[in-house]
Amino acid sequence: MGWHKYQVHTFHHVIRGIIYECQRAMPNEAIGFLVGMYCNWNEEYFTMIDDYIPVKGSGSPYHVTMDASTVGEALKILEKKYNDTKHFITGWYHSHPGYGVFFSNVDLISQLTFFNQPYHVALVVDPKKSEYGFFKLSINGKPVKVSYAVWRKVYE
Amino acid sequence: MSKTRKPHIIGEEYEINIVQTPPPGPPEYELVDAWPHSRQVSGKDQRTSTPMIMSCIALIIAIVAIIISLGLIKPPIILSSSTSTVTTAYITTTTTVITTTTETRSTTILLTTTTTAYITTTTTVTTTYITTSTTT
Repeated sequence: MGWHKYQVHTFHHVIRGIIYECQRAMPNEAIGFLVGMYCNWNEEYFTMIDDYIPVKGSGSPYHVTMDASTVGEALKILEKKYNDTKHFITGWYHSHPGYGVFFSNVDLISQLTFFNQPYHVALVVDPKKSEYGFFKLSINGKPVKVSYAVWRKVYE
Repeated sequence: MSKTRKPHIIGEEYEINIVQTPPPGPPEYELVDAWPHSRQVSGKDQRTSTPMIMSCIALIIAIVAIIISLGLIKPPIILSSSTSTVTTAYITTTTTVITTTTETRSTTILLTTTTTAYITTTTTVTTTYITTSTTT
């Protein structure tokens, strides 16, 4: 799998929270939305993720599906929490408990169907190994790993 | 100032703002983790870089040890041809022919012979890559 220089910036509390959600769902997979902004600086575009919304889904250790009703609930939470024009759903996360960080064919179909914009990213978490990685679609529609930076406020 | 785009998000279309803002960075934020570059890394990446350095040092030590041990295993071979004159005597000559195979860097003893000879006349013993011990 290739690597793309596109950058994802996020925060320590977001990653920590997502890993916690995924560990809570173990041995089943967990799923949810990434909330953030599409940013531009010095002609460079990047995705900034500053929140997440866990979504209830029917899961097993090897698959997870979002319930349609919970998707609506998640969007309501987004509108309530971020009543601005900057924040929106910038992607999704899901877990691979114990079998590593990679992008499966099923994940690719989901990405192609629902998260096919240039700012859409996917976060794959292995809560057993505490590993994670960000993916997005390349211009050719192939999944690529993207670079990321996790930040923490200095006073935290 | 912000630009707008019409994205397609989960079956709905609405306008989003492209926010003109720099990415987070020092001094307000510190980097906790990054991939693939680890810049000013604290925490997790520091922990992973230390074993990497130790592994490199261990590898270098292992290579040096192998080189030294190969040098020590190599037997002391008399490389020079020697000629000795022996007068009448009982002579026991132990000849060990040693060859070194350069490919495997291992030493193989091909032949060991022990001969006892009764020499009445002058004898010339010439050895090349042969160790000779003589007991009178």
